[in-house]
Amino acid sequence: MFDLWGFLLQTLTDSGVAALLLILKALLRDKLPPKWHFAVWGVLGIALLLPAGLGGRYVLFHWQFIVEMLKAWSRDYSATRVLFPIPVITAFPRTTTEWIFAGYVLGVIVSMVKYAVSYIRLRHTLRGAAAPCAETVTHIEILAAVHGVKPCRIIEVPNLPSAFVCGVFRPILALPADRDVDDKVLLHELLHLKYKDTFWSVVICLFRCLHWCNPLLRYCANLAANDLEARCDQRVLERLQGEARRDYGQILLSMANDRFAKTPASTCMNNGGKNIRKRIEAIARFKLYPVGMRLVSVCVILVLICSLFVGAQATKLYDTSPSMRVSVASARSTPCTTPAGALDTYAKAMFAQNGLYWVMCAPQSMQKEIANWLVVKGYPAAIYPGRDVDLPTSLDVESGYFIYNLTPCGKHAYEGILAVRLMEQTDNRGKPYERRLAAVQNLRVEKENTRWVVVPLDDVKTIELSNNSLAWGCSELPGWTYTGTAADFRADVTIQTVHTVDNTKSDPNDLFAMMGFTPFDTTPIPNARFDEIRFCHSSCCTYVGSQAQKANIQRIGLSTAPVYEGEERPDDMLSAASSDFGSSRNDGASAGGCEVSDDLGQQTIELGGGGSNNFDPNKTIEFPIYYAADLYINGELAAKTELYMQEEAAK
Amino acid sequence: MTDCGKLYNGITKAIWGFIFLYFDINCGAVSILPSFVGYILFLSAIRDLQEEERELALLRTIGILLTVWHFIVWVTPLFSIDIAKQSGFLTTIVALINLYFQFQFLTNIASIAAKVQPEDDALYTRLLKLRTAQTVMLTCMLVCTRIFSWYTEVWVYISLALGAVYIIVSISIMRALWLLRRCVSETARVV
Repeated sequence: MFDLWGFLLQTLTDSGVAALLLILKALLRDKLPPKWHFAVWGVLGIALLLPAGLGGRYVLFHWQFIVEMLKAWSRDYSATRVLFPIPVITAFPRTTTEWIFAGYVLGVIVSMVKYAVSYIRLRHTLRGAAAPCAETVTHIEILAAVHGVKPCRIIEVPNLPSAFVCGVFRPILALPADRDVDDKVLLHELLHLKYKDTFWSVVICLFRCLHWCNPLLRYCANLAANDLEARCDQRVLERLQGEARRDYGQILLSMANDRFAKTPASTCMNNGGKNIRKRIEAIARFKLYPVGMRLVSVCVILVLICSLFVGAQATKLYDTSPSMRVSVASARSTPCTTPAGALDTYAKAMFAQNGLYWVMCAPQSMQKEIANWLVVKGYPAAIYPGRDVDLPTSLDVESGYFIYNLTPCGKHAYEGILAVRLMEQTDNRGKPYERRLAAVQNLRVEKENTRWVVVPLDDVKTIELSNNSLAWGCSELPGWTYTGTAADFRADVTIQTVHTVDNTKSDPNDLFAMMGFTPFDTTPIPNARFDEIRFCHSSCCTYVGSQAQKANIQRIGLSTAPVYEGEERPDDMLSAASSDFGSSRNDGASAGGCEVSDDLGQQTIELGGGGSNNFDPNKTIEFPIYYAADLYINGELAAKTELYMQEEAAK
Repeated sequence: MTDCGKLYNGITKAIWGFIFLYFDINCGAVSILPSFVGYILFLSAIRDLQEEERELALLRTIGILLTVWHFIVWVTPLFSIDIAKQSGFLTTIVALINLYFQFQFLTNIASIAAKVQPEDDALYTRLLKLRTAQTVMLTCMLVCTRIFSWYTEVWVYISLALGAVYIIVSISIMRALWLLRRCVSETARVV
């Protein structure tokens, strides 16, 4: 925790877990054994140790939203993150929130010093104590042996209200010097010793210090300490019979002094009047729980741990608030957790002309500018990606968007091209022009702390398309080219990758959806995964031979097949001997051919292409080592060759 | 003294309660075997059986809470609200107290079986084993729902496997309760 917001997020998250545990404990108060009631605090212990908002998830409530709202009101658009749940001041405080955080850290230090002093005072009291008589020592050793406890050093201290164990590594059993101690009290302390309860006392103390300003967590710390005693009471009662159990309750009743109750690394049987009342109530309910109860106790804790630590991810944006600050806070607390999610959100920010979507996927460096702009203007369309670019027509939402050539670019970063078709242009009479246009933009998607963000690498540009669709490749966009030369021809295969996210709206009550008309969903999916990657390839040949030979060539054909690492050149290449139509297989092999015109010179002959989509879209792309190529001239196989990738990447 | 009539009625209600709880037949967005009816039947069964097994009375409070929650879950989809999806906090609490409720209810039913079963019968042990199987199954379902629901590909197979176990365990519990009802009926005839 580096700032006030990180601490707020952590303490609110832990408070949610504490509230859940308190409700659950109240509901199961008389149903599950005290051992469970103490063990279940372990869940809160784990929550206190785990950084809040880990992996962009939240626990029980979307606390990030509340924190972001508070930040929005104080015009702070920095990233909220908790790396570890211990406060650290990295710089001298300057702003109000930094001073408040410094105050909190000071409180932690003061609390720790207070507990340290109380422990030192206790040790000081014990220092001058004498060892009890040999008879007492023997008696305690016999009692310890009967109950399987390894005895520790025993001392007698004057004016001590009750016996207690002190110390974690070298514990001491302190007894009052001026009176005899009942065996049941001794058994209670020996069982604390056996189960190392002084360690838990230290842990509770540390958490109490860390969250000293959170009354709910302080209350839970007190309850946990009481449950530690109740658990020990249960263990004592399990070892007692009949009247001895009632006597034990009476001994507790006679203790109302809590002089050493909250001293760390010590276990004092008398932990205050109110707590003793609760313990006596628990003793009144005492029963020997059946062995089977362990099963449900463990199962409840297991489900609790899974529910709390897997958490949930915010995916729904609250953008209908009349206050733009609240909407911005909601967008900031709904981060994109996958590269596909970030690209999807960015594309939809363009489609829906919604700056709030942009907030979800914008890098930290742009957050303040976008958020300020939205808050000042007060409407989502005040700013969005591509707003400054004058496109000839609007974006064709129903065609969706396509991510071209998405490739890893450093650690946790990818670069690619966002391509969106534009609506058809029409003339004055409403007749559409023949040309098809698309808007494209180079983007970089990278991981920033726990969220994925999109960084535009250039402005949105308009390109003219030769194909009607962008779904299976676009010759106007770059790709990776594999080249080889054989029989006076240079053969080229250009490949492009197209990543898509499933954005079909699925509404079971929508009649059109039931009939197969599934409109494009413009709501961002911040945790989206790519549903498909298409490898699109096109091949062409260029004559590079002498003019004298070209008259003999009437027909040219090219068959290609990708060869991946560890594979041999395939022996089942498609034939391009005679077919005038291209053919292709889902493994990326394709063949095409055409008649050659008389003016064959340096002219490039397009030989068609194909596509395949049998790859995992969410794994790193594996490119072929080379393309195996068979060149056909005049219907005859003229040469076998290999095409290798050109060095420059697709841009 | 055992009131066989009450016992018989209580166990019959428990069997119907499990049918409503375990099976789910939907008509559009509305379930025609709503879980809250199952819990109402359990509460009624508790009233009939608590004289025989006093600890059952401890389940009444959480039984009422579960009934109210499942009624809300049943009724809210009629107004296009999915409360179960919107409240992770309450869903978690309900899942946990339901886990305990099912465990304790079957434990107590098993105790009743121990009292009414013929000497050479193993109905008590069988019910305890089924209780354990049910608790483990419910835990696995809750844990897997939370962990694997992120991985759609894996989740399909896990949910199929859990669904198969769910059907086997539920039918076995109902069959064991049916046998218990028969035991009670025979005891009543002897008396």
